[in-house]
Amino acid sequence: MSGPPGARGRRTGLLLVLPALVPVVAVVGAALTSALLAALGLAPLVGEPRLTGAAFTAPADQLASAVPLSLAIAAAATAAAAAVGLALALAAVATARRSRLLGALSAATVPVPHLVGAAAMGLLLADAGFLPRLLGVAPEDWPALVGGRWWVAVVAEYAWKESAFVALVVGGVLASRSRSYGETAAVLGAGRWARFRTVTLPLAAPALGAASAISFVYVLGSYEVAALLGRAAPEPLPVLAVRLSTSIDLAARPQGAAVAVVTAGLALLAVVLALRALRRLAAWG
Amino acid sequence: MMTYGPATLTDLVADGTFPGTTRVLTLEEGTFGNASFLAVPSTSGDSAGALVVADLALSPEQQLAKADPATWGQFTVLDLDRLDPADRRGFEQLPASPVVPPYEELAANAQPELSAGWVTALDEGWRRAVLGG
Amino acid sequence: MGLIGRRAAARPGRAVLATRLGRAVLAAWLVLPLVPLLLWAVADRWSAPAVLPQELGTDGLRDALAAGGPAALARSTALGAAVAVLATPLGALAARALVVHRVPRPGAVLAVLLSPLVLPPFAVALGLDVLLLRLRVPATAGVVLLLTVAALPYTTIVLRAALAAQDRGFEEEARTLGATPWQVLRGVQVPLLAPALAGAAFLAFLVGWSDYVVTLLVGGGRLVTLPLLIGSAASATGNEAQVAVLSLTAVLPPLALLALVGVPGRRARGGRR
Repeated sequence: MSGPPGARGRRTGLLLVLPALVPVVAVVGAALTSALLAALGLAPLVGEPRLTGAAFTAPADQLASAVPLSLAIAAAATAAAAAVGLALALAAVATARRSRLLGALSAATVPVPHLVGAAAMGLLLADAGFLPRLLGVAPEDWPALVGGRWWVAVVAEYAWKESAFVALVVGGVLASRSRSYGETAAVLGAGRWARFRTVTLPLAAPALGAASAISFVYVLGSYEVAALLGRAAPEPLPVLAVRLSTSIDLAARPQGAAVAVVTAGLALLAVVLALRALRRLAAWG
Repeated sequence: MMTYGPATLTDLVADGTFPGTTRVLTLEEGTFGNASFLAVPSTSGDSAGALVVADLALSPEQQLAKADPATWGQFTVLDLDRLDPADRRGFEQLPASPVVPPYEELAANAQPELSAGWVTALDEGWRRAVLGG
Repeated sequence: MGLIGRRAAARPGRAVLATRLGRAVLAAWLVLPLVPLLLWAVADRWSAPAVLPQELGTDGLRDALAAGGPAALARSTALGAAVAVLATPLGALAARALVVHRVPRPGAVLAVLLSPLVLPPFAVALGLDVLLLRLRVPATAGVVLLLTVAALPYTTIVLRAALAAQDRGFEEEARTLGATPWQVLRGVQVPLLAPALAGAAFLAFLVGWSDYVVTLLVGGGRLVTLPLLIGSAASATGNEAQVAVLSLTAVLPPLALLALVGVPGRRARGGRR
C-alpha cells in the first residue's frame, strides 16, 4: 500500500484519484460542452439545432463594453488587493513589533462571504451610508460610489476581501522564510529599504503573483458583487451572461451561453499568462 | 407609489402601512389593466389535473373568496350577469373599499396591456437609457 | 554629544509613529466595512445625517426572523457541511494519490483537479442548469455536486501540501510493528493529517456556505440559503437592519469555526517545518 513506484502503485494511485477526478471531469466537461453547444445554436430549447455564430455576434456591442469593463474591474481590484495585502502581510510578520492584531483581522476577513461584503460596502459607501455620515458630507454632495460610473464600491469590495486573502498567502510564505534571511541581511549591514527590496520582496513575489492571479480570475468570474453594487448598464460579463440566460426571451439564452464561454476563455487566458509570468519570476529569482 | 394590485391597498391602509387618506389615482388617459391567466404547459404530465385546478380557480366560490378584501381583494373575472342569483348576491354584498374605487370606475378607461413582444424591448430601453444613462 | 544623542533618539520615535499610523490605517481598512453592519443590526431608526443610530432595538432581528432567517441558516449550514463532508475525503484521497503513489501524468491530473478555480462558477451553473433539469437531478443535489467540484481544488491543494511536508516514517514503523492498513489509517495517517483535514474541511464548508450564484441558478428557488435571503433583502430598499442581521448571521458561524480550526493556510503546512 505504501506505493512502490511500479505498475501496482500507479494503479492504486489512479484508484485513489478517480473519486475526485470523475466528478470534476463530469461537471467541468459537461458544463463547457453544453455551454458551447448552446452558444453555437446546437442545443436550442425550442426549434431545430443549426450551427451558427449568431449568439456571439448578436450581443457584440454589449460584449465590446463588457469585456473591457470586466478586465478593468478585475485589474483595479487585484492591484489594490496586492498592494494592501502585501502591506498587511509585512505588518503581520515584521521582524520587530510584529502585529498579531492585523494578522488576526486579515484571517477573520477571509471567511466573510463576498455577498455580505457587498451588503456591507453598500451600507458604508452609499450616499446616505456610514462613510459620508462619518465625514459629514451631505448625501447630495457625495459621489455615486454605489451604482456610479466608476464602479468604486464594486472594486472596493473585491479589493477589501482579496487583500485579506493576499495577506494570508504572502504572510504564510514570509513567516516561514523571511526572518532568518532578514536577520542575516541586517547583520551584514543592510538598511530597512535595502532589506525590503533585496530580501522581502523577492521572497514574497512568487506568492504575491500567484495570489494576485487567483484574485484576478476570481473577480473576473464573480457575479453577485457587481450585480448588487454595480450600474445597470454597461454590465460586466457575469451580469450580462446571467441576465441574457434568465431572460424571458428564449432566443437570448444562447447569447448568455456565448458570454459565459467568452468569460471562461478570458479566465483561462489570464491563468496561462499568469503561469508563464510566474515561471519567469521563479527562474529570475 | 405605483402598484400592480390596487386591491391590496385596503388591507395596507387597515394595517397602518399607508395613512387613511390614501386614494387611488385614476388617469384621464386611461390605466393599464390586465387579467391573470391560467395556462397549462403542452408538455405537462398531468393536464387533466391542471384543468380541474383551473376550473376550481374560476369557480364562483373561489372568485368570491379572492374578491373579499379580507382575503385578497382582487376583482373577479366573472361576468356577474351570467351568474345565478345566489352567487351574484355574494359579490354584491362585498364591502365597498374606502380607498379603492369600484371596478366600473377603475376599468372605465382601461387600456389593454402591451403585446408581450414589447416587454424585452421596453426592459432593455429602460435599462440602457434610464438606469445606465 | 548630548545633542547628537537626542537627535538620534528622535528618529526611531518618528519611525515608530509612522509605523503605528500605517497599521491603524490598515486595521481601519479591514474593520471599517463591518462597522455599519454592526450598527445597523441594532438600529430601529438611523436616518441621515446621524453618525450613530437614533433608536436602538430589535426590528432587524424581527424582520430577519420573519423573512425565514432560521430556516435559511439551517439550509446554509447543511449545504456547507455536505460540501465539506464530500470534498474533504475526496481531496485527501487525490492528494495521497499525487504525493505518495504514482499517478500517470501527475501534472495533467493536478491541472484538471484545479480547473474549477479557473472556470467562473456562473458559467458552470449556466452551462449545466438545463442539462441537470433534463437528467431530472434534484435541484439540491445539483447544487451540492457543483459546489463540491468547486471546493475540490482547495481541499486537494491544502492536503497535498500537508502530505508533502509529512514524515512517512511513522506509517512504516506502524506497519513494521504489524498494524493492519485500517489501523495505520486510523491510528497514524488521520491523526497526523488532522490539522490539515480540519483546514481543508473549513475551506470546503466556506464554498458551500458563501455561495450565491450557483444556488440561485441551479437551486431553482427551492434552496433558499442565507446568501439568497441577503441578496433579495439587500436589493430592495429600506431593509438595512434586516440585511445587517442576516449578514452578521452569515459571518459569525465561519468566524467561530475559524477560531476553532485556526488559520487554514498556517496549520495546513503541517508540524514539520
